Amino acid sequence: MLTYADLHTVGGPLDAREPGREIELHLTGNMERFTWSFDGIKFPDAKPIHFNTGERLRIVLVNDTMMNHPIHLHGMWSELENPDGQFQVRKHTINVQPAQRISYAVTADAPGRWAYHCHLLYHMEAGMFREVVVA
Amino acid sequence: MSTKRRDTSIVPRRVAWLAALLLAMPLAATAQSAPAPAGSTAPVAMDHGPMHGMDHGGMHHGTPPPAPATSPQVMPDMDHASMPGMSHGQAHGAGAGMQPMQGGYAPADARSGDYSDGIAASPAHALHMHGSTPAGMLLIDQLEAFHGRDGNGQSWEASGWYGSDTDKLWLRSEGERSDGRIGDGEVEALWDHAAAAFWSTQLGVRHDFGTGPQRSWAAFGVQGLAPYWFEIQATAYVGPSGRSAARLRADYELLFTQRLILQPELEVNLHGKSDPARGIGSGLTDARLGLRLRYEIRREFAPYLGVVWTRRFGTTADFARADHQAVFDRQWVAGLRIWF
Repeated sequence: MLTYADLHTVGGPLDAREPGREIELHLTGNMERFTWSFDGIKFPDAKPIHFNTGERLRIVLVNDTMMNHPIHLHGMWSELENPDGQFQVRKHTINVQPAQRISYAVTADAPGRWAYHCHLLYHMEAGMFREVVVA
Repeated sequence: MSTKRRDTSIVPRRVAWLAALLLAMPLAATAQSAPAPAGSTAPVAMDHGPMHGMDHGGMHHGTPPPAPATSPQVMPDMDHASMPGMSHGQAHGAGAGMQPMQGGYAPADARSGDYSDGIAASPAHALHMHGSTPAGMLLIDQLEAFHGRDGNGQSWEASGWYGSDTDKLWLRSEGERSDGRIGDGEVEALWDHAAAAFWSTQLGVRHDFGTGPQRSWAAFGVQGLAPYWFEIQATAYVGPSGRSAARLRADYELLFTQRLILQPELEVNLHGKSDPARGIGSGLTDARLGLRLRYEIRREFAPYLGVVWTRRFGTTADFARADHQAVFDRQWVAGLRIWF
């Protein structure tokens, strides 16, 4: 079976800097009520996530649910880290399995407002969606 | 079950039989709620927050188990600060009461979920409906013909809801028709409010129609999913002239396959006051156990066959005898389950 450990981007990360800070978000939901969110807050009630223009930061995702969530950050690359915190693979959408914790580095090089969401669109529609502001 | 045995002395045995049947259901539930597939690409990062009072005698903190070679991610540092009830040294083996796995409140030292740095949401925020669109459903759970000792007829049971994740208008209706007229029917309109992860409170009205005088009730109760996947409804009713009633319903879905599903359903009714005009005595009124085996041609469309046992008790049974109706009845049913 293939896993993300079998993917490796040749040439290393686009940005060699060590991430300057960490943003941790939990993937939350309830299958019975079909409510989905980041950190238990659905999109209508959620504030944006702010990236400083030009910074290198780490996003940590913890999946508290019993479902997979492929998480897509628009506008910037998501550089998945391996167990040792080293660069593994550069992706647009990173799947997070039930009870899994993953981290990836992002270089905030695209000023503007970007969508950040679960790519299972029923989950996105139910509220597993955030706005990322690079400014 | 023999229908000849009609003396009340066998009631406990019958009840015990039903109880045993229901108790057997969790075995199947356990099989259904199997954990995530073993083929995970990464070890789990256990959120130990909700596991109060765990006995950690066998765990070695500070040396998390190594990740499989296929994993892109290590076992993260376990955040022991966020494990309430795990003050090692005093809570060991205490077997403190388990807390619910969902719901509750964040600890005081929880990380901030606000990463906005004071930046306001985009003006487009309100245009995107993600998570705020009302939804609705109409479920005709039973639309069936029945054949019993008392006679033949048709019956229905339906519910529908519309609203948000937390607040819904909830409608329920059930009843039966025989000899071309509605013998017994009722509709309920309730405000359903999500009170806990798996439980809602309900508040509203019920109206009874059919044979005998019409009755109206105020209704309040709870509805939700109990552990081991039992769908539960418990509703109390209060009406004019000091009338009161209660109804407990439990149902379950036993999936033989993804399409072939056995649905046991148990309903018990109690009344605080006799209502002879509607054939109702005070106390435990009646209990009904149904077993319906459906085949989901589509999720939304499933024909079924089933059997329903109904038992009337106490004064209600006396009224039934006086009316030449059976105190205990077994009905064969055939019908459709449809939802939109």
